[in-house]
Amino acid sequence: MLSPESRRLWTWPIALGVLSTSGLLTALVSDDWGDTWSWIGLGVPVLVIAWFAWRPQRAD
Amino acid sequence: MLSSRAIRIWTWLHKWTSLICTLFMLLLCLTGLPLIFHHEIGHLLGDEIEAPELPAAMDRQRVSLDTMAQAAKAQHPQLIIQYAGENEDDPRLWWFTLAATPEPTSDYKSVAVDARTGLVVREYRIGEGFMDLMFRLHVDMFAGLPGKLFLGFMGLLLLIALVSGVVLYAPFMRKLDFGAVRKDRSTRVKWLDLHNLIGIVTLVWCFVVGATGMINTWAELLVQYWQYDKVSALLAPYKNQPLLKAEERAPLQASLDTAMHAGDKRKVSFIAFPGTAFSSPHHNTFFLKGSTPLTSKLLQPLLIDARSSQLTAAPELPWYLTALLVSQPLHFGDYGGMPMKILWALLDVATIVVLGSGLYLWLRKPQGARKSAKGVAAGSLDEAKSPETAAA
Repeated sequence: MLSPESRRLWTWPIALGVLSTSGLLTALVSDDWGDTWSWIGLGVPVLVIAWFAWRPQRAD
Repeated sequence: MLSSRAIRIWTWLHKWTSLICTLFMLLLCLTGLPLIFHHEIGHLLGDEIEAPELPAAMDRQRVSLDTMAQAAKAQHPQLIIQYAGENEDDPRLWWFTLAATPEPTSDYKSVAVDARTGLVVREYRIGEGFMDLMFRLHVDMFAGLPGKLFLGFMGLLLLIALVSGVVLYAPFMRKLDFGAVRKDRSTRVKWLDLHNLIGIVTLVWCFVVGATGMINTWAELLVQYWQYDKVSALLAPYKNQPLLKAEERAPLQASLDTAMHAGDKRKVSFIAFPGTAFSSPHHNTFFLKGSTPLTSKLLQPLLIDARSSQLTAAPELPWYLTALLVSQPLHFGDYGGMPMKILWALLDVATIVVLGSGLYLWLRKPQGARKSAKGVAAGSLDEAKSPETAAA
């Protein structure tokens, strides 16, 4: 099991990695739901980058 | 947790694998960007060939393969047909490639023929224009197989850089929340954080595109190995026979009929004519494909005697060529419609930012970084002034 520190460090990267992987694979096997899921699977990581890169700095 | 010695080794690995491949990866990312949209750009430039408007009732009508081949050959009577196949997007069109010899060459013509009427529609533009330049720079930098294998090796370095980057992510992010970008610190710290953020988020995509690109560079070698390993045994009865003369060949339609009868897949991906790299001097080799998203990537080869039109062999495609074919869309990003292409382009741009910021972090290595990186070895990373000193 992951230590609390590792969990804090890796939860997001692993979640996004699994999401990307699922998106890359579903579009290979299906042209309807699979394509739609791939847009989510690859779109969320892109949005995550955009959010953290451009969000305003916290006041504290 | 990583020991300080381990951190230094991984840092060294990350630095050098990245530095060596970065310029080539930038080239691949920049040339790959328009290639994602090659269909759309070809359309805009008028390079894509459209089937002429004919009554819909004619859509399923087909002339014989011989009629189409004759039409293509009439365009270039001095050349011979190497390959032919059904247009991937529009079954009403077939393409024929012609060259001076059956040997592999980059000097060839490609003709689109209307399968309903047997009339030539137009010639594809080969070896000219912006997209062709992008393609050649992306695939082999105009250096043929050695160029391809070189880029494949750069891809391998990229994969090592990605793995070492993930290992180093932990010590750099230990005191930071996910996604933290410290904009109130120096420019270098901001770009270090962005490098870590974008790098870790695009990791899977970048690894998959890098790995499949690397595998693609081995395609020619894999096909040659398969022919040597398996196909040569099947062709033993034909060993040492010269290239079958054109006048000894049976009508092509008879071969096509045999293929359609013998194969359990129904669409022609492509046909390799006698003497070409994908066939034997004596055979029309048909590569059939299925019509679902997955089976359309799985090819079934059928070796059909070009004189008798009889099936000689239907070898299984080996696992490594199947793996290559299935992995290709994962490199091209062309299997999930326009939204996927746009995401592919955005991830490509994100990768350019990771490459550029990595280069910047190396160039703007703080003074005395080497010394303090050694100092870090004594304690843990965050005891040092900041991770920025160790990033060099």
